[in-house]
Amino acid sequence: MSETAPTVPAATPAAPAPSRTGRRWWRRNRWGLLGILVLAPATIALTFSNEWGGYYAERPSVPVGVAAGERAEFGGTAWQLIGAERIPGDDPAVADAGLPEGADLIVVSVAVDPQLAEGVTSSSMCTFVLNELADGSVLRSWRDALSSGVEYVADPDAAVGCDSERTSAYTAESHFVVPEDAGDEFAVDVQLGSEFPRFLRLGT
Amino acid sequence: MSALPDARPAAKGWWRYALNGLVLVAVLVVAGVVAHTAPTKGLWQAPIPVAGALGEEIAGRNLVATIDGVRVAEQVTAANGWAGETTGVWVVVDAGVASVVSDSPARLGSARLQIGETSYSASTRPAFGTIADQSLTTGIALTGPLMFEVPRALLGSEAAHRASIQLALDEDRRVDSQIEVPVDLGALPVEASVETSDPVWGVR
Repeated sequence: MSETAPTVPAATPAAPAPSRTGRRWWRRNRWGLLGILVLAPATIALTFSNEWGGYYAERPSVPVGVAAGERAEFGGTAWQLIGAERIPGDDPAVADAGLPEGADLIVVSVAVDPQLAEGVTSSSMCTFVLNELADGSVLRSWRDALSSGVEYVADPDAAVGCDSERTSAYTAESHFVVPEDAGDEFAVDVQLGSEFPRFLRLGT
Repeated sequence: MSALPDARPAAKGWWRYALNGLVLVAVLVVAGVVAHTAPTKGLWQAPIPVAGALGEEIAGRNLVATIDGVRVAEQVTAANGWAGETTGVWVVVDAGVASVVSDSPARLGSARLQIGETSYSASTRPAFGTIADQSLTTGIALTGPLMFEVPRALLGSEAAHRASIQLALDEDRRVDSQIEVPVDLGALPVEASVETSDPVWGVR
């Protein structure tokens, strides 16, 4: 029995070895592990920002809200919503406008004041988009009816959409064809390609 | 007896190697299962099918469509005077389409007839005599014909009984809704000729 006695105390100090080894491993690799903790999220963030950042930067994705009736400077031009008139499809005023069945016409008037630098001979082109809102959020949207064949003139002096040849203040008129079940809460977007991803959202 | 202290660590080392091997095999097996069952690029970028039936209004993300009827004819004449002659047959689909949330921009960019493994795009030769590739309006349907030119022999095939009309917003159909309506082309009579109506814009 006395010969086997040394084996028991020999095993006892070996028991805590794995935990000490484990701690040593963490200490030995702490900088590498720290690097992974920093670089892994940074790689994911960079990939996402490259893909999604580029996607959103190329389209109107950042609205700049403007309260109804307020004037806003944007893209070297001052913009102000003058009014938005909804004309039901069965109104005699639009009998010859070529409206489709079950649709209303919404005429939006915007005061446009190009503030051109000296020597600049053309003002900004723009795109108007009409948004139907529900509790402040966009429900549906329409492009203007320029290419739809609908013909209507509310103000003969107004330009139809933006007119780059007008270098002084003018009124831009835009027409939207919406289904008659559309609500009554709207906002008008003014989009300038040079200002993407920002665009103006004029409250009505 | 002096060999006993050396034998125990040797046994412990052997099990550790075996355990490492097992863990490695398990990781390889899991990786193999994941690699073979994970969705492929073609699958996770595929169009998202929205199935429906003839006469039913089917709504996807930004496309709502109703397939009103399907005819097969040896010759088709569009309302704008375009006449389609073919050595095969024409499958004429009458449908109404509109965008759901936004029409800036939105077109019926993809109208296909899937027969077995082969798909046929709707002809754009009738120009404004068809709704193929025409602009859509939010909430206001464009109703009119789609013409597909297909080989006559296909009508007698087994696949013709399980054909599918597939409509999507863009020619690039990846990761967006695709309206799909099954149609039994083999059960339809082949008419000598059909005349189609002009596309009509208006709430259905």
